[in-house]
Amino acid sequence: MSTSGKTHDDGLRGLLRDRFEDFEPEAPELFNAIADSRLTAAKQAVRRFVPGIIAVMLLLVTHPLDDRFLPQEINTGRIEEQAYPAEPALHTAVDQLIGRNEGSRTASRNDNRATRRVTFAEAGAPGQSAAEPMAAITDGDLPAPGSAPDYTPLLPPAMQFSSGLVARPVAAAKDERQEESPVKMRKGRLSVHGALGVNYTQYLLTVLPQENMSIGDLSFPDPGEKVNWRLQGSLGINYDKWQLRLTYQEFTQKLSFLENRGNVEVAYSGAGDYTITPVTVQVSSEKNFRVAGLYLRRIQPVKSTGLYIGAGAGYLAGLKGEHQGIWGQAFAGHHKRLSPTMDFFYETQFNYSFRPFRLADPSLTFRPYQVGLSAGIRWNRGNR
Amino acid sequence: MRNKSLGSNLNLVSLVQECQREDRRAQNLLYDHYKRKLFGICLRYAGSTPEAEHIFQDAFVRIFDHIQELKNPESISSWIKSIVIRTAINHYHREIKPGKELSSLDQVEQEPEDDTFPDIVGQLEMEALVQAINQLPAGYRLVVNLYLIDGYTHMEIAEMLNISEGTSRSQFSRGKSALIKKLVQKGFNHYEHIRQNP
Repeated sequence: MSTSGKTHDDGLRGLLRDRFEDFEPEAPELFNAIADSRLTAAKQAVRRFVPGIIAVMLLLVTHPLDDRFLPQEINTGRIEEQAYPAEPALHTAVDQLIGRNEGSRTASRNDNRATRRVTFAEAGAPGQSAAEPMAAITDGDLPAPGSAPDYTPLLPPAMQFSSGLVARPVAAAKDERQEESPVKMRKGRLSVHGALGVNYTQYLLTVLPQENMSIGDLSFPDPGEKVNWRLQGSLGINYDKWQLRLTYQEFTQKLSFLENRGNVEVAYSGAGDYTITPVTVQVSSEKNFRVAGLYLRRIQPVKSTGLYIGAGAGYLAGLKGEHQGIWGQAFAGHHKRLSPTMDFFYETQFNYSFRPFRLADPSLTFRPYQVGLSAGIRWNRGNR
Repeated sequence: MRNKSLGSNLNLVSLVQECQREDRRAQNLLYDHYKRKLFGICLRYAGSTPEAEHIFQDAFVRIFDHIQELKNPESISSWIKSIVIRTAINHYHREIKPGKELSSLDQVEQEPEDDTFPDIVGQLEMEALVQAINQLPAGYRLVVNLYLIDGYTHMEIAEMLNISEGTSRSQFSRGKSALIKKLVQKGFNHYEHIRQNP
């Protein structure tokens, strides 16, 4: 631009700015429309997110994953050791299995995890040594894990266990866990917060694929313990919409179930009939966990309603070194300004451990998931 | 800025803090305090009064939504003005069809600068001045407003509109010529009107 052009522009600029300096025409009265517009946007956000979150949380709290979600063969309840007439095909299978030996044989085996009993009983042949069936087991006459003939279709439903390697969502338990956090972050502003709350924990139970084992009759802890709320706490710093938070949480894993590793007990009646009973072992497990770690969370305010939603991920480790892994978290909450520097907030969360915890029985793992409630205070640094 | 209901800057700071607490009464006072000034800005950036009202409403929604992010309540006036301008820019990006805008750019011919233009600007009624700006193609109107009246540099305008600095200069040059042409025409009409109705 030439010097004269630049000068011309500057003159024009000053002239127009002067003219518009006090340009204040009559404005429409739209305040109510503006307020309604903001309210509508907030309501839409609430309608969109909050009911779903509340519904999921209520569902999880009031109806933890229970037997209804288990495969039918596991859901059939306790196994009664009843005698059923054997089918002809079963005769052949059983004959092969026991080598047409007559007599009754019993073998027992204990391992370092849970008491297991492997029993062979054939009526009418007393005095048989227990060593023979044990030899049959160790020599591989019994089906190898994963390749064994599956007799379960021949059994009444109440006796059927799947010997397949099925990851079973299960339920039962309790626990709890972690924490929670605040609010609308001021852009470019640091703040700190602290929160306390409780977590209700359930978990998904998984039979390891390499194990030829099935479980049934899974039970929850006593009804009084079913709602298992445990402590969570957190301290953190916020920057804009990001939070880094140090979290502590506790939970208890507790469950019991009947375990079957593909073993059956066969009783020969002497009249050509066999009675087959799955051999099950009652397993109980209870363990307390205390874990701590760091979460990184992203908060999204819902308009100016004070509501917020968000998600995050954290790395948590057991205080006794029994577990390390990544957790995910989704949350929704509300904050209230107490003073220019202080906010109160409360929040609900859903937490999930991506890495399974090990039970005492190494054949099983469980993954905790939690519904949490917490409340806390945030201090906004430098706010007036 | 009008300060009829707010005696001092201290009161304005308190008002902003109340707005940050979502106090509806404070929001209403803030609205009353700034509505005329901000609507004037909206009228400059819009092509029509309904469009200006649309921008005006959107801007106030954004102001109340984000006022909690305002670190220094003392700077509320400049902050609010920047919100309105950015809302107008968003409106332009959202509502104006690029193809339509391009064709309108081609229709404008560069006019030689007129030395009588400053006199016309000084004498025209504000209504006619705003009308002349409103009648500019939307892209020109945006750059002319940002550069000539609101004092942004071409570098800042380029960043705000996501265009190159050269494009900003080019748009401004053409927009200024178009504005001068319209103002000269309006000045002539105005002169004729006065002459016929002394």
